Amino acid sequence: MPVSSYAVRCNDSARPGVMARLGALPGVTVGEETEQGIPVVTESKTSRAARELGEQLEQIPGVENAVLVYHNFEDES
Amino acid sequence: MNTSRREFLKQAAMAAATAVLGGATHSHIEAAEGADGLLWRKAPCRFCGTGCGTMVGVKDGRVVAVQGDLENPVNKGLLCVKGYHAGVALYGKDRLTKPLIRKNGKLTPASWDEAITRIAQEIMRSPSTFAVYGSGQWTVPEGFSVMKFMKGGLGNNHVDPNARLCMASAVVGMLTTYGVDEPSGCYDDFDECDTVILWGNNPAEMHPVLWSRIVDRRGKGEKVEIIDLATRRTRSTEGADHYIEFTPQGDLAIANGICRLLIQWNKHDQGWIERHCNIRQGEDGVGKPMAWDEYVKWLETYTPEYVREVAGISERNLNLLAERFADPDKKVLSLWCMGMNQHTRGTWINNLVYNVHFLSGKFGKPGSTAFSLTGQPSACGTCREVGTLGHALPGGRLVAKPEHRAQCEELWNIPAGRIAPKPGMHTMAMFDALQKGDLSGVWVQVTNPAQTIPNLNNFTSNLKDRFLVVSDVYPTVTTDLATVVLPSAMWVEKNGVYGNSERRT
Repeated sequence: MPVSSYAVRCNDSARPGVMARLGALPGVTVGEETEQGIPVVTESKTSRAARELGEQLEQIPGVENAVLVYHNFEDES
Repeated sequence: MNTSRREFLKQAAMAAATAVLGGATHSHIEAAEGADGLLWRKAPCRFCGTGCGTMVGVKDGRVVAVQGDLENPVNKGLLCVKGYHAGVALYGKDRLTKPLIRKNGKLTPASWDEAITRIAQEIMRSPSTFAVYGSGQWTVPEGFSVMKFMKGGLGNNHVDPNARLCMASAVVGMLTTYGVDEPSGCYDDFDECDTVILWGNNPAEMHPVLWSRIVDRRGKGEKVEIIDLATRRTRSTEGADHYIEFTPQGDLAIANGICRLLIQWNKHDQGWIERHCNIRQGEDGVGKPMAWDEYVKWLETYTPEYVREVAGISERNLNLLAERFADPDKKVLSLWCMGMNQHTRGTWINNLVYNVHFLSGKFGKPGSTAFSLTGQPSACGTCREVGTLGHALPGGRLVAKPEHRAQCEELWNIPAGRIAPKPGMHTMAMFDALQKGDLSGVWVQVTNPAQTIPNLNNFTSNLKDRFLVVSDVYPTVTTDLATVVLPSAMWVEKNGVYGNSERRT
């Protein structure tokens, strides 16, 4: 099961809603936000599923972008 | 993977994302040093022209993790969608692992000695009619070796890359504008500009890390305006402040229309032009000298009404664009890639966008420049700087110049006169010659021309009858036609360097 992390950026006004929606997604762990954004970790069954979940993060209303930072797929290799 | 290891990796992953967002943590540093049991090493990503730095995690000799290199000035810790697959791509089940030689119509496993002997025999049978076709995915040392082998070894200049198809107009645009094939900007301009104009460019999907570098500034409270000037809506449109749709080919009229307005409004930078520019009328690479008044008169055609007729954009939108260049305090960055560079009038539109920046003086200053992005990891670093082109030698030297050939012959310690004075075939001439039988064979490396050459059937239907060597990592439609297939090393399996869009190596 790949473990991935993302830097999620959004407007300040959208942050509470984005944090709540991120937290409601299965397989998503929301980290401690910084001034620049919200760190997020995901767990997925495959790298393809990880990519799809990453795309889902970007579709959350208020998210400007969710950029992959880390991807460990040692279970897949 | 047991629970404690999973939890550990999640912490490492969270630390990496937190660090990118300005909250550097101790556990991130631990991960880089291998507390997770992985051996972490640096490597450039090789999947586009951005040139991101990555950290590659290796376990038991296999790549199992990738993260953005926080210390790399290009991507500052970010990856893009390619990060999901960069490692996995090394281990596909159909990876080529043994040389193959076609025998009785079928590719059959062979030894390296047998394959190399066969290749050498075929090349030496007719050294002057053998070619190499490569790409902007050669590393710099690979490209240099191929170029030197062909030009200094065989005395044959028939080596060309697929970069001929994607970047020729950008190269000629720079040569005819600057006199040298070098970009004027760098990625730091992305951090400094006030306005970004995308000229038929879609970085949100094609150069996502560079796109993030621009839009992330908004998250930090900075104001950066994005104008998407395009023939269709893309993912980049979603992040733009303005979307201006133009009729294909209309961009030339738009550029000239902006120039006309700048002069009409007396908002051009006359001093900058007088200090730095010679005005010449196009037609060929040199052009005919043109006085300022002649240029102003020539631009008179490009009224807002004419631009609307040709390009389909309103006077309001033309004014909007021109106002950005007219504002002396605004830093303007123009970005483009294949939309302009694979344009049927690509060289001219490159020239014209430079004109807009020159006329407004928005050039050569942090945040103000015109920047042609590349699509491959080393189209600049290898093909253009090393000279893996039929007409070129390293460092901007030309095959056609006797003094440049002599310099290379001396540097390479080869007999004077070894480098042939006639430029080699460019890509399309090469495939035309292969089709007709004027070339006896070709060695294809790091590209897949039977999938990608323009007018495919007209240029590749006879390839199977030539001596076709293909070096690749997986079977392709080109390996399907090959006489000999050589399995290749990929990405971190080999050493090398790339030169990216901003010429960082």
